[in-house]
Amino acid sequence: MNKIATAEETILEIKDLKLWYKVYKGYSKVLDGVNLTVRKGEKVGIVGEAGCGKTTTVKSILGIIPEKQYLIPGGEIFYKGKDVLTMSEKQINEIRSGEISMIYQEPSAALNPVFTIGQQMMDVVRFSAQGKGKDKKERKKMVLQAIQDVFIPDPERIFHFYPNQLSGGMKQRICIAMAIMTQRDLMIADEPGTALDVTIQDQVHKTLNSLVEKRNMSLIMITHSLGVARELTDSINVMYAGNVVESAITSEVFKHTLHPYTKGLMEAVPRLAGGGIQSGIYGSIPDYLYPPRGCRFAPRCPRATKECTEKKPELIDVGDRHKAACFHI
Amino acid sequence: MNFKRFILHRLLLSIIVIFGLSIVIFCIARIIPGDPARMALGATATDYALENFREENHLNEVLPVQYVYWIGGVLRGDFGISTMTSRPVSGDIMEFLPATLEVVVLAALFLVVGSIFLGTLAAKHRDSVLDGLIRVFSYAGVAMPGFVLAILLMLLFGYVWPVIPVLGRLSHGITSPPSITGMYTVDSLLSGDFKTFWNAFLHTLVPALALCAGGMFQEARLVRNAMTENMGRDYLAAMKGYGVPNRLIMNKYLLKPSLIPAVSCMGMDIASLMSNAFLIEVIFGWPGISKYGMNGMLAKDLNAISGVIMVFGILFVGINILVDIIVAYLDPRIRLGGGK
Amino acid sequence: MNRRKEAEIKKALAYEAKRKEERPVTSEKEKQIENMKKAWHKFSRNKLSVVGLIIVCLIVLGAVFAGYITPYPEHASAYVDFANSSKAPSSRFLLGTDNMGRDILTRIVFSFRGALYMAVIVLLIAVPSGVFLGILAGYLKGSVLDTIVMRITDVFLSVPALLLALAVASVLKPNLTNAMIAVTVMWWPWYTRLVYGMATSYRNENFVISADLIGAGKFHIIFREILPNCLSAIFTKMALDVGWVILIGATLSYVGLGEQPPTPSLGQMVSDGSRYMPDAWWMTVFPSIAIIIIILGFNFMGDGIGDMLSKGDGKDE
Repeated sequence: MNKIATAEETILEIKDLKLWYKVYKGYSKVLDGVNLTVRKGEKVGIVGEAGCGKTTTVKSILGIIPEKQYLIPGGEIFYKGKDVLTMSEKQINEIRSGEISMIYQEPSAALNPVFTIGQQMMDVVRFSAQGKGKDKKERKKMVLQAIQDVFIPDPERIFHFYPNQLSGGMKQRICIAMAIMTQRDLMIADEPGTALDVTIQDQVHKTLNSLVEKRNMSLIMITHSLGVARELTDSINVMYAGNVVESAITSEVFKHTLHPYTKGLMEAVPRLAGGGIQSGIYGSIPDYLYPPRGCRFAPRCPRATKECTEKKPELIDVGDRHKAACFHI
Repeated sequence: MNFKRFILHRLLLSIIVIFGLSIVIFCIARIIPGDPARMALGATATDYALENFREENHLNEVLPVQYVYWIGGVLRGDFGISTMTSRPVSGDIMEFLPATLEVVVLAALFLVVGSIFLGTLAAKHRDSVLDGLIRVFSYAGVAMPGFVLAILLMLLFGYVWPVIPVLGRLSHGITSPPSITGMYTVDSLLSGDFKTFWNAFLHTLVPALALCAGGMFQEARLVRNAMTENMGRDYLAAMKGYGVPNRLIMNKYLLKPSLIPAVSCMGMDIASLMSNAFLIEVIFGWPGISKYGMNGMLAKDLNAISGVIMVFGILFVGINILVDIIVAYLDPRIRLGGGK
Repeated sequence: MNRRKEAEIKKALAYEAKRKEERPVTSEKEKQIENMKKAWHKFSRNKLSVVGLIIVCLIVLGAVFAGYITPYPEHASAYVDFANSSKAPSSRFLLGTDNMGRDILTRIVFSFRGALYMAVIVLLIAVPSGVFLGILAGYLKGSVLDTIVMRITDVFLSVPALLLALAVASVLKPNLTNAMIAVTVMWWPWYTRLVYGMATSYRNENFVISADLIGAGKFHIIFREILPNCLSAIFTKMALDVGWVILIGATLSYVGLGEQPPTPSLGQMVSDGSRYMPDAWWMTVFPSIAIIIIILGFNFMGDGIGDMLSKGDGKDE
């Protein structure tokens, strides 16, 4: 879209985003000040355990969390300099159809079970920035091309299939195909392939990676696995309980791990070369209805002090593009 | 293809069901009431007459043999003689069925179109006045027995606001159209008599309304709930996320999956329209098979009762097969089997 | 649209600031109280459920104490007072009198007895038998028993309940007991099908398989493992069915196949009254309204019980 952009241009910036879900007897404070920056052409990973707010964060960018269930009491989401939270439905729909594209976590849930792959993809193309004004034949060509691009043989046949006639891996590929059908600037991938077995997951990742690189898109990659993030991303944001607790260039995260949570995550990864499963992290993420007052990680943190339980640490610069939110680093 | 096997399987099951139903009806008609001969001929019949009646109707045989005689007759379309009209039950049914079908078909049409329309509207304007209104009506539809609604409509259109005729099938002075199907609206159209058609149609209107109103609002609610539930689905969020306009998402990607549960319930509802017709036809003086059956029940005319219920059972089973096929058509998950 | 809902945010912030003191509870007793509170919250989140509960309570109390609270208890039987026949509603007869001069209000309250009696007896017989057959057939899926039970169920479900109930009631002597028999005969298959579906899915669940592996008997598995998991669905359906049974009972008595005069029943009052329409409208309209209210009450309450027994904490709505 923007040809004169420099490599360092910021495409997406989330500033102190807070999001509450309405639940029985109050508000569940799921996002508690998320900060995230995506530069043009950069592959950004969001890593964290289940329920830490990764998916909520990215869904709030596109505004696709069902209207009645949530509140955004603070924060901004700037996409190319404009705050999407204050946009009209029409403006945000322009972003959805031409700028940002998302691959959803659960491929069988993200495909409508009662329409064929072709029917769904044709409509996506029809309303995309590039498909608008093209006739049916051209649009179908785009769809078939996209199916081919994710390495599915015989796209013409798949076109007439219903989702439940496909295997999990195929469905995931179709989801990717849908997302990459037209040129977008930012791709959000929400744990693609998590539901699949490891070898197929690996293929899906490779497919995704090559497409993103070929098309010079920025990527936000959500994953709960540091290993996947290490392989696929340029920078990593570690999330814990609705906060980004550490953010750095990927190699830096592994070389100079700072936040105790990140360290815990790394120790939880079983290593093939001896050692087996390490200490890991005890406990579970806090109840968002009654979150800890200070650092949300304090109850599980081996280094927690009194300060941690009372004050919330800010995400501060600790080095070259390396940020962490902890009093003890 | 799987679809054909699916339909074949359903048909086979239905035959078993109808066969079972015939046994149930036979039991109701022959075992429960005591002496059928006495019931048919009344308390004043002589022993000789009773014995004759028994002999004629194979009532002296053991029950399974009686059943074989009876079901043999049913298969030939012979339900015996009605003690009420002294004519063959099958002839009575042929005469009265079209009038009932006329009302039921119109009511079913109202039910399907009305519930989908109102349900979609309510889901789109969730928590609005309209949504609330439909909710109230659906509750009223659940709680109001058919006969109460019929009486209220009778009161409304019969006395308070007599714009639509409420009694009988045609107004005085209008002759019935030549009998082709037995349904006045269809026959008058076929013979090109629009005046008669309009009159017959108006007469059908209120009974049909009384029949379908309850079910219609309940189904509307069902459609609405299925839609609001599906609104949170990932596949809609995905469509929205790809920039597909809301209108299309609503009318296509949300509507179709949401209709599936409603359609299967509508089959049930349309089937129960017919049983509600039992009361409604009596109230509106509609000369249909339900009124005939109701009178048969009150007169303890066992042949008429078993004949009418048998016919209804076959109709219900037929409707259910139809609905299953429609659902299977809408839902590829059923049509194409369990997938992987 | 702007996703900054300022007014709502303000309200939420204020609410959250106040809520702070509340902390998760730990002790067993507190947990129980908390669970009950939560159940009540789920039940009462829909105000209509509360309305339904109140209606049901009033109707039950009215039926039990009908002899004490109604103005003319003697009118509930074969009482004749032609001087006051067909009187319009007045301060003396709040809902008017029927053609025999009997107070309609009194007769309505007394007729709740028969309606409730019928609903309770029908469900007490139909539900356990239906559930038993369903759970057995479901657990023994694929057996001969499964085939027989479910085909019989199919047969009964192939014709709407009202129609067969009418047929059964019509060949029997018309009275309340026979009406109850007729409705009971129609009612059990619904529960058989409901439980059958659940039992067939539960029998492949891990908790049943593991119980089987550690050598639990069939009896234990069916009644201790599968049945408890079906209960919430069964109770929800039962709560809603009370209204349905009353509705079918009213229909039967409307055509004269239920409770016989002089004992009052709602359907029969409507049917008697409709002969005096539209002049003596109160004879028809008030019993009709009574039918609607009683069924509405049970339906509202049933919905509430469904909400209460449903899983999840009710994030939506």
